[in-house]
Amino acid sequence: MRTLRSWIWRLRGMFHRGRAERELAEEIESHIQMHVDHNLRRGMAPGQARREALLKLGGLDATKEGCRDRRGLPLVENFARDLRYAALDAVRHKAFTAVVVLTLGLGIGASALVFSAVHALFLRPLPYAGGDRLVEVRKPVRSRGDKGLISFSGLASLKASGVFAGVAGFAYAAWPGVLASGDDMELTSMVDVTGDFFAVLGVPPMLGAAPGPADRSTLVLSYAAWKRLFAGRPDAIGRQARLNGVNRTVVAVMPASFQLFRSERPEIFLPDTAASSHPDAETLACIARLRHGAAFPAVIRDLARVPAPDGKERFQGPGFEAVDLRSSLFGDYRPALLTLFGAVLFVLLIACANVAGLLLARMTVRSRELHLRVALGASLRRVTAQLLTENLVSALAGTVCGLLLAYGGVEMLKQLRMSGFRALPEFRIDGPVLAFTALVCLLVPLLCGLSPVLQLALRRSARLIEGAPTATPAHWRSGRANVVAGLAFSFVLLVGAGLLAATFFKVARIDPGFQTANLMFIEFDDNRLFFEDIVRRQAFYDELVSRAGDLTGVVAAGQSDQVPLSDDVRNVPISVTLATPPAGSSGKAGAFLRTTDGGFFRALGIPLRTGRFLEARDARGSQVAGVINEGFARRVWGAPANALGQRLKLLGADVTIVGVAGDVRESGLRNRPADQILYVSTRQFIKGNRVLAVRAKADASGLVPALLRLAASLEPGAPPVRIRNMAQIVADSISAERFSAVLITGLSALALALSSMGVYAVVAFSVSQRIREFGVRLAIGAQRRQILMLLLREEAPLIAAALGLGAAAGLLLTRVLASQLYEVSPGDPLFFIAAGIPVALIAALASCVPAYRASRIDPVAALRWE
Amino acid sequence: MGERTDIPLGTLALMALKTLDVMGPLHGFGIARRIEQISGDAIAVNYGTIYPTLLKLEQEGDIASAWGASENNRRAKFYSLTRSGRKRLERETRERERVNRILDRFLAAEGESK
Repeated sequence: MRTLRSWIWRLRGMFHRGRAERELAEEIESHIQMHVDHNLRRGMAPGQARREALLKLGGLDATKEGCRDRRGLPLVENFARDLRYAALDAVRHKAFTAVVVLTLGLGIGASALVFSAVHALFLRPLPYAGGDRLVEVRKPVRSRGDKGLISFSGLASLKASGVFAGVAGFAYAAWPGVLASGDDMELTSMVDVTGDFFAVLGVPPMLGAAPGPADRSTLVLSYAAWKRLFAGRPDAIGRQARLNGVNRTVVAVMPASFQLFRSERPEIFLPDTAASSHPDAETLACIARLRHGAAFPAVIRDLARVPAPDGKERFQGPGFEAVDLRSSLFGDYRPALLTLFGAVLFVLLIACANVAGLLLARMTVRSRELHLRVALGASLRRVTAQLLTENLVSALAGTVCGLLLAYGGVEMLKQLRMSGFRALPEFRIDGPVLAFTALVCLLVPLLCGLSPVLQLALRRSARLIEGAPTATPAHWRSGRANVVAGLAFSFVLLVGAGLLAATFFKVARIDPGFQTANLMFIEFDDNRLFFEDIVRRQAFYDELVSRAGDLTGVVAAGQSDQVPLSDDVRNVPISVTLATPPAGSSGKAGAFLRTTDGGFFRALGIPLRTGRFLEARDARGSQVAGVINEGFARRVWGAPANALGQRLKLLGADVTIVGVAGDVRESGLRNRPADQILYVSTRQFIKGNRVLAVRAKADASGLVPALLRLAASLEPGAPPVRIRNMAQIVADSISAERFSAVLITGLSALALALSSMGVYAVVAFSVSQRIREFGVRLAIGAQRRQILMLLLREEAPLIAAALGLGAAAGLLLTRVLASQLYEVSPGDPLFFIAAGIPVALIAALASCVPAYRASRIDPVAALRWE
Repeated sequence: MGERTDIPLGTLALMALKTLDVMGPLHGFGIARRIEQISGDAIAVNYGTIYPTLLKLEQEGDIASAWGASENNRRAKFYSLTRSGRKRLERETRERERVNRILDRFLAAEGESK
C-alpha cells in the first residue's frame, strides 16, 4: 500500500517538475538561511557562517539531485528524453535517417508480406469448425492430374462404414449459372453439395438455417453472393429465385469467413442436388470429419477396409485414401513458401547488416561525444539505453514504412489474380502478421545496434576523447564485410532469377503438339440434363458439333472427353490386348482412351503422321477404328507406319488402327507426351465427359453467343456451361513457373537495391572522413580524375570479393533450384556472368557518386574541414 | 571526538519520525539539528541527506508538509507526523526493541559459557 502511494506520487511528480524544482530551491535556501542565523547567533563571522552552512549541507547540487531522482520515475523520464533526442537527431541528419528507414522498411516489409502468406496458408485456422480434424477422402490417385473423385454411391459407402463422424460431398467443378430474382438477372457461380455439407464442416449459417433432410429445391448463399445479388438484405431468407430456370428458395446465408478453396470461387451452394446426378458419376470431392479421439493412422487402416463401390478391378488395394485437409489444399505450396520465407529473412538480415554498418560508421564520429559523456559521469547503462532507443526509433520508422510496403504488396498480389492464387485463402496484414512485425521491430535494434554498443563498452579509454574522429580499421572491416555479404547474396539471388526466368521462357515456348491460337473449349453440365440417357446425350453432341462446324467464323469443331493442359486431365489406363504382338512383347498394354471425332483433330490442328483420322464413316455397324499417337506406335511397333492395320481388343471390341496422330502434351507442357493414347470414335464408344472444341478464324469468344443459341435450339434445358480459352489454359498451366520467376526476380532486385545503398553509404562515409586528405591532394596538384580513380580502385577489391563469394555460394545454392529448372543447368556460367555484370556495375555506380562528389571538392574548403 | 559512523537511510527515516513525534511540526533544518544533537554528535551526516529521506516519507504518507513561518519569521517548509506515520513509528520501535532483547539474551548467554 505504501509503495503504491509512493509510485502514484512519483507518477504525479513527473508532470510538476518545474514547480517542484522551485519549491525545493526555496526550501534549501531557507534551510541555509536558518543555519546561517544559527551560526551568527553562536558568534561566527557572516562569511564563515555561510561557508560552514554550505559545507554542512553537503553540496547544493548533490542534495537537489538526490531529491530529483526520487521525485519522478527516472526510467520513464529517461526513455522519453532519449526518444525526443533521437527524433531530433533523426531530423537533423535527414539523408542518413532516410537511408536507414528505407533499408529497414524494405527488409521488414518483405518479411511481413511473406509471413502473411505463410500465416494465411499454414497458421490461420481453416474456416471450418475443428479444421485440424477434417480430412479429404478420395480414390487413390494414380497419375498426375487424377483428382480421385468419388461418386455418390461411394459417399454412401463411406457413410455406411462408420469410419468417420461425418462425410460431406461437393461437386469438384463449380459451374456458372444465371440467377433470376424478381426482375434482376445476374451471372454467378454455383456448386452442388450434399445436404449435410454445412453440418459436417461445422459452420452454422449467419442467417437462416442449413437445409434439413426433407427440404428440396433450396439454395444457400455465400456472404459475397448475398451482398452482391440480394444487396445484403435480411429478408433474402425465404425469397424465391430461379437458378438456371429452376425455382429455388433461399434458406441460409453463410458467414463471410466461410470459403471453399477452389479456383472458381463458388458463390451459391445447392444442397442435396448431388443426389440428382447419376449415382456412379465420379464428380464429387469429399471432406470427412474424424471421430472424436480417433487417431489418423487408425482411421487410415479402417478406411482401407471400406470397399470401393464400383467393384471394377481397375484399382487394386484400398478403395479410398484420406489426406489431412490442410495438406491436401495447400501442401504443394509448402516447400516453395518456406524457401521464400527463409530467403526473405535473409534479406532482412542483410538490411540489418547494412544499417549496422551505417551505425558503426557513424559511431566513429560520435565516439568523442559519447566518451565525454561517460567521463563526465554518465553511467554506461544510460548511454547504452540512449543508443538502443535511437535504434528503436529507426526501427519503428522502418516498421511503419515496411507495413505500408507490405500492405501495398498484398493489394498488388490481389491484382495479379494468377490462377494459382484464386484457390488460396486471402493474404491479409492482420493481427498475427502485425504481431510478427512488432517482434521483428523489437529485434532489429538489437541486431543493428549491438556492435556500436559493444564497441563503446570495450573502448572506454580517455585516449579516444582527444584523438581526431577518424575511422579505426576495426570499424572499417566490419562495415565493409556487411556490404560484401550483401552484394554476394544479391548476386546469388540474381543468378537464381536468371535461371528461373530462362526456365519460364523455355517452358512457355514448348510446342504442345497442337495449335493453341483461337481455340475454345465448351463444357456443359450434362449430368444434370441427360442423366442416364447416354444415347440421347451423344446425339445432342454429334448434332451440335456438325452444326457448329457450319457456323461462319468457325474453322473446325470437334468433341473429346477432356481439355488438354487443363486441371481436368485424367489418364486412366485401360487394358488392351494386341492381336499380333510384335516379337518380345507380352501383347498386353495399357492405353489412355479418348473418345473423339474427326473434327477434334482438325480443331486442334494435330498433325497426322500416317493413315487417316476418325471420320463420320466410323459409325455403328462398321469396323471399329482407332487412331493411336506417335509415341504409342513407336513404343510398341517401332515406327508409325508399322502400326497401321494392327488390331487390338478393347473392352471386348476389335479395334483396327487406321491412323497415327502426332503427340500431344496433355497433362502439362513440361511433361512428356504419354506414349499410350488411343483415340476412338464417339459413334462407336460412348464414355465419360463431353467437351466441345472449336477453332475460330479470329478471336474465339466472338462465337460464343451463336454457339449457345445453337445448343439451346437443340436442347432447350439450358444446362450450365463453362467456356475456356486455350490461350488462358496455357497461361495457367505455366503460372507456377511464372510465379517463381517473378518472385525471385523481385527479391533479387530488392536485395540489390539494399546492397547498393550499403555500398553508397560506406563509400560516402569513407569520403567524408577523408575530405581533408583530398583537400591536401588537390592542393598539391592532383587532378580531380585521379581522386575519382583512387576511390574506385579502393572499392574494386570489395566488389571483386563480393562477386567471388557470391559465385562460390551460388554454385552451391542453385542446386536447390535444380528440380524446378527446365533444360537449364544450375551451374551454367552464362547466368553467372549475366548476373555478375549488373551487380558489378551497380556497385561501381554506387561508389562513383560519392567519389565523383569527392573529386569536385574545393581544396580550400576541404583543408579547413573539421 | 568520538567515533563517527555513517547511518543507512532507513535509520535516518526512523529518527526523523521520532523527532517529529517528540518535537511536533518542524522544518528540515530543525530535524537535522535535533538528530545530530540527540545522537550526541556520534553520527556524521550531511544535512542535505535529510531532504531525500523527508521526500520519501512524504511520498509514503508518513509525514505531511506545509509552508509556514519559522522562529525568526523566515518562510520555511514544516513537516508533521500523520496518523499512519505515528503508527509506523510505534511498529518500528516495538520491532527494534524486540530484536534488541533477543540479541541481548544471545550475547549474554555467550558470556556465561566462558
